[in-house]
Amino acid sequence: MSNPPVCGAQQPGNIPGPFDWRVLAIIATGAGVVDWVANNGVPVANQLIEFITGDLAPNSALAAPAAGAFAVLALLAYYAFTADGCIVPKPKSIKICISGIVEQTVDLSSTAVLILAPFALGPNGAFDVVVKSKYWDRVTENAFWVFCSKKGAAVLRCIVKDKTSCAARVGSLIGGVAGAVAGVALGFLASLIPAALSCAIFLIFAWLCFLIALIVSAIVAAATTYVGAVIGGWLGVLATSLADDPVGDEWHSISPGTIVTVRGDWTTDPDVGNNELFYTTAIHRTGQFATPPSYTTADADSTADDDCGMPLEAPS
Amino acid sequence: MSNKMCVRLGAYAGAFVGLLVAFLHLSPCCASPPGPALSVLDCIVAGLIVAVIVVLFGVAFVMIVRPMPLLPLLGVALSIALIIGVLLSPLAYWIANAALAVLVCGILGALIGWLVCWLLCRGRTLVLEKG
Repeated sequence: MSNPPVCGAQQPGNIPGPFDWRVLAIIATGAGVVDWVANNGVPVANQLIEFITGDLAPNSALAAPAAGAFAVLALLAYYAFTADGCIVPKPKSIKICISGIVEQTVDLSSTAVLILAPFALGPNGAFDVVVKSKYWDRVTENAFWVFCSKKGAAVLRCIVKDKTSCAARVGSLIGGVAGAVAGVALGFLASLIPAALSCAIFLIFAWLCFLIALIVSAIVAAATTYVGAVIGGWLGVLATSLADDPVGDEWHSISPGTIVTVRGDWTTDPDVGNNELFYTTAIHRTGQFATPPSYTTADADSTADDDCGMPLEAPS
Repeated sequence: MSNKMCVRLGAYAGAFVGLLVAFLHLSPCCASPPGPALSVLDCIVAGLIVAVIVVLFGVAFVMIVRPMPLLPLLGVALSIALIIGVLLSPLAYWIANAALAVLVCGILGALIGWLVCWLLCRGRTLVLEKG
């Protein structure tokens, strides 16, 4: 490629994002769950309720808490089955190697997510590399958008995986399922409180009282499922937090101006349409540029020959 | 705010409105034959309560995982809830079958969510072009 890439949009129109079938699948599954629960109940939850109250719960009364629990499970499944190589493989990725100067680093880790929603842990961070001109095609090929440095040089975004996120999602799924069973039973029991207060005394607003009982049961079931998922996620994080993470360690040590050779799975971001490394599999520092950002392609080309021809990763 | 987020908020709100409003048929007050049927206004009030609660939980979750300006997000979410509550709750009550109401109202809720975001994003593009 001889001409420098044009920054910004590469093609007219919008990014042809894939149709999100998961929403329809979740709705259809939710309808199936409601129908099934209304006819058959929830096996373990039914026995729990019978054990606590000494009476069998009507199946139809379990549908609202089951829907609350299912809503949270669907949320967990959404994150667990994201196509990022954890459970579902990435749709399209090629292993490549690029070299250049780090323009900026972005810390994407969040303590709030780690504590409140570990199943939603995303990448650890990202860094933008002003690539040497021989790697321009990696930035532009099939891209809908090209990111550039402040000086107008093409950059490739490199995403750094959080080593604990996959285990957190699997742990959350397991914890969520356990929480859902308990949640349905608790949700049903919680719905008995408004009933015990006698909805009938509200006369013409009895439907409102009944609605509140339904909402309370769904919220209690959802909350219990969520708590189970969070605990499962924490356990997943705990189990993997001591594992080796050479890329994560190296990423923490790079800063704007670091000259790097980077390897990773080259793909196109489905939301923005830019090409990126998702995820970065190896970072090799080869020096530090003398001046602070921003950088040009000429700056990147002026650095020493990269080591893309050399093996960076130990053979597995 | 991306279209996907609006679609999901709409789908969740629509599905829950479908489920809980359809369930009002089980109430001693509102089932037929035992009691009088709910009026359209009652259905709308019930639908609004459910939809607003669902989108508020949704907004709280979004603020945890992807912090963004609260007011615009809340505005879009409540717009979706308002439309879903008004339009889908009488439909859900009329359908009566909870599973079918979840399916129909969930899909329609997703469409409403997409439509609200599409309208708002189209407006934003116009503003940018003028600027």
